[in-house]
Amino acid sequence: MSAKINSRQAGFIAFFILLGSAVTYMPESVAGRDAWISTLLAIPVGVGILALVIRVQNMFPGRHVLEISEMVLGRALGKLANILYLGLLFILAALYLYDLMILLHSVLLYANKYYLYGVLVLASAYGVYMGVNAVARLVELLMGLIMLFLLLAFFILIACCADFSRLTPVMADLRPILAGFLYTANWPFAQASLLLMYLPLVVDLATGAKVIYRWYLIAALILIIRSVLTVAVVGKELALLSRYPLFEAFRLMRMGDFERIELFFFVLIFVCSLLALLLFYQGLALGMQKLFRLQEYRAIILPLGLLLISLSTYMFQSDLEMMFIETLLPFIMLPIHLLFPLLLFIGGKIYLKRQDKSLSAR
Amino acid sequence: MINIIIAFVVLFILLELPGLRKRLCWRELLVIMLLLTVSSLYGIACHLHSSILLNPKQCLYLAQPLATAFHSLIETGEEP
Repeated sequence: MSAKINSRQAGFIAFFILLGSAVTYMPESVAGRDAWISTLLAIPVGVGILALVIRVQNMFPGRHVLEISEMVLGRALGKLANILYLGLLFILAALYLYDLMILLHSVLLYANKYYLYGVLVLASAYGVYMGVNAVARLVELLMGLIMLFLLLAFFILIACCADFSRLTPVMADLRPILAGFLYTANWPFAQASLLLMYLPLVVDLATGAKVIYRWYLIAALILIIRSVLTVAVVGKELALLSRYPLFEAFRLMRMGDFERIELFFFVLIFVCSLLALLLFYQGLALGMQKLFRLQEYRAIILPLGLLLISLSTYMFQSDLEMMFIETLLPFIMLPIHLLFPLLLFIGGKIYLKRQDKSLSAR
Repeated sequence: MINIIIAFVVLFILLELPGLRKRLCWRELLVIMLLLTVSSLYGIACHLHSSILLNPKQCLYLAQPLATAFHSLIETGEEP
């Protein structure tokens, strides 16, 4: 399993990490008609985390972040930080799995949810089995298609059902915007930290970091357009009440005599979300391989998938409770997303300075 | 849920066990046993509708006072 990718593929991975679940779930809907401003304000948070992640990796080229953490923070503190970060990734992967299961269940009403979990995890496990290279090629292959269908969807929404007067007055109240900013900064922008698991595999990171930023910003731009269009099509009330506001907007699409075209775009949403689940699952497997110092992660893929299903089912039993839990997430996850790379960055600077001093002393 | 556990364990035995037996990597075996045991325990608890095991979501509830304070500060009364 030779696992080397280029910065272009890493950029596509960043694109799908950001777009993955956020194309369906819209946490900034709490900001009402100003949801797009919340999205806009949250971009610097995501870019900041991305910059930290890339700088940390550039300080220690080729080293895995969990090794860097133990080198820089010391063995005990480093291990603790690694376990905490992998715990966060695990809960995120479980949340993605749950969200995707509910999305699928909203179309396949009579399907047993355990089987849906099984199908989703097995589909992702197949991707993880194929290795990082195959996943990187898959996202590269799907990129053009996804962009084409996203643009098509946005064009149809603008042509048939968008009422931009629903977006006015702008910034009437700043408090909902602040709340929307916090939620969207956490989900999905802060999830750029997952790239910590993939960047050690990038061969041309020192020269190609700009490409990663570019694709991350393109995904952020798509999220702003999504926020604008969702509120313009379904209105702020339905955007707030609905679990999948963009899918609700797709449901209102009409094109001449064609109806129910939302199922066509459901595939787009589903593929984006499945890719995000796959990336988190693979990131988690890569992390566990390093944490337990395993030769390869292949053998833990299925047991890890089963653990994801069991814990998703055990943790998130009711959708109502889930909606409440989503209000708590920024206060637990955002600090970890921010502090883990920041700690590594500061620790890395000090570590490298000490190394330089000891070298010059010799 | 029991069906899912059985399906995953059978798949694992078919796909991975022969390779693991050849390599005899004890560390990998230990991690796999740990993962399978924990996931089976939680799976069985789900099947029996039991809440006897420690629920990891409880750590998310640690943020509840902070979230409540934030919501009262912004006074939207709305949740995402």
